[in-house]
Amino acid sequence: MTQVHEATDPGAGERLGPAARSALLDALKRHARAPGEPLLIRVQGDAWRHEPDDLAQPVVRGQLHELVLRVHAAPGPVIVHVDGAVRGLGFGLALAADLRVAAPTATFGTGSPAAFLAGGAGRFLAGVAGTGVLAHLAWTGATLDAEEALRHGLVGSVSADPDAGAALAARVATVAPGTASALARALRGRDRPELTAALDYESWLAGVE
Amino acid sequence: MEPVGYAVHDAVAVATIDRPQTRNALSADVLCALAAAMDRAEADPEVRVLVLTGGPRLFASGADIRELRRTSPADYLLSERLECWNRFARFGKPAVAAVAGYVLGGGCELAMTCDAVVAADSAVFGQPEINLGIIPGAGGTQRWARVAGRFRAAELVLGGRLVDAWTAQRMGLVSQVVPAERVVEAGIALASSIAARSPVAARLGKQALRTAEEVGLTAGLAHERSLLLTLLSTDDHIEGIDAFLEKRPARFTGR
Repeated sequence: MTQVHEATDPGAGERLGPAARSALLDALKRHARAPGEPLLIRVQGDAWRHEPDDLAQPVVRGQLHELVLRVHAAPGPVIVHVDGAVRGLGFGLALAADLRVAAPTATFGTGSPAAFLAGGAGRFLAGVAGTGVLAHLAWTGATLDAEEALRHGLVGSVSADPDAGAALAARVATVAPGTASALARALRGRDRPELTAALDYESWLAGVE
Repeated sequence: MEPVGYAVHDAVAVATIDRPQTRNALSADVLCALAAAMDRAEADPEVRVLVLTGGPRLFASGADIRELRRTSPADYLLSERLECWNRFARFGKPAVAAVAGYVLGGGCELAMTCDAVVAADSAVFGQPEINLGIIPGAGGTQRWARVAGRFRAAELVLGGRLVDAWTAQRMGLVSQVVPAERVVEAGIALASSIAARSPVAARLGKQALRTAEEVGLTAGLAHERSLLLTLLSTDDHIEGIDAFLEKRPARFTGR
């Protein structure tokens, strides 16, 4: 059975703010109690266009990066379905997930340098698309549209079907729970120590002016 | 100007080596000032954790080479420096080294007398004494071998290899790598998190960890058990358990 978290767009200034983060954290905790079950996160509009308001190190490490680590360490597959602008923490969250589906309207980017560091996207992006793409996006603030993101491997598919994420989740849900749990742990365990060290370092960098 | 600055932030004392003209070389007067700072932190009941640092640019480049050139074996054995090094090793409260830039020779040995090392991304660690025709004399050979294993330690001690902060982290010496300009802040943050715990438990925890370096497993386990029994007689253990059960932050008093 698939668990679903709807990330609605609360508007500029509130996106991935405390309320949205708290709701996502609750969803991830619920998901953690059902090893092997898929979690579908449906990101509506620009809900994950993150512009950080607080870069204090304890916030970045204890709240923003904690979410990224929880998505990455989830005991079952996490599928993110996006149709709007994905930036900052939103980019990190999307890249930390196992599977990504994008609507043709979706765009991806690091956002401001501070948002990029607060989101912890660098390590995942380097792994998915290579350090060249990471450096280009980080230094220039350029964005990728859905087709470009598909070419770079940032998303697995681009579809205008609003139920594309749900369909993918339903397909993943057919994997036996024990197998899904083992697969998730194998995928997470590989780089966990280095990921933690990198995010810890970035949490301090985020506040450097 | 004092060679070592001293300040207290809440329950954390910060001792800062401040001899930039000699790259914070550990001359006798610097070592004595560090020992005095430790005495002060040890005696102050308000201080729970000590941070040793050289600031965001460099920690300590090692011994004062010119001073060492003039030192005979008799001078060395009778000098205050040996007592200072013994003082560092005996410091009973938890200590955090927040290091940047050069962490070489005695500087590296000084960091290794602490309980945790937070390193700036600029930090460079090494025991280059071999280049001077000598070897480390303040614990470098013993502590590196325990931290990283004898063979990797040999690269530093025998080969004079220098390693960056990330490598030192992989070798097990460094617990956290942070941007250089925030290394002192990060050291204080780690120290503050330790200071928020029961001071008596932190002290005995440190003692237990240090014992692990000195004795075999059976003796170490017996020592650990005796320290736990001691802690079971403290107010802090009642407060810690009550706070956990009542889902509130604990208020440790150190009794």
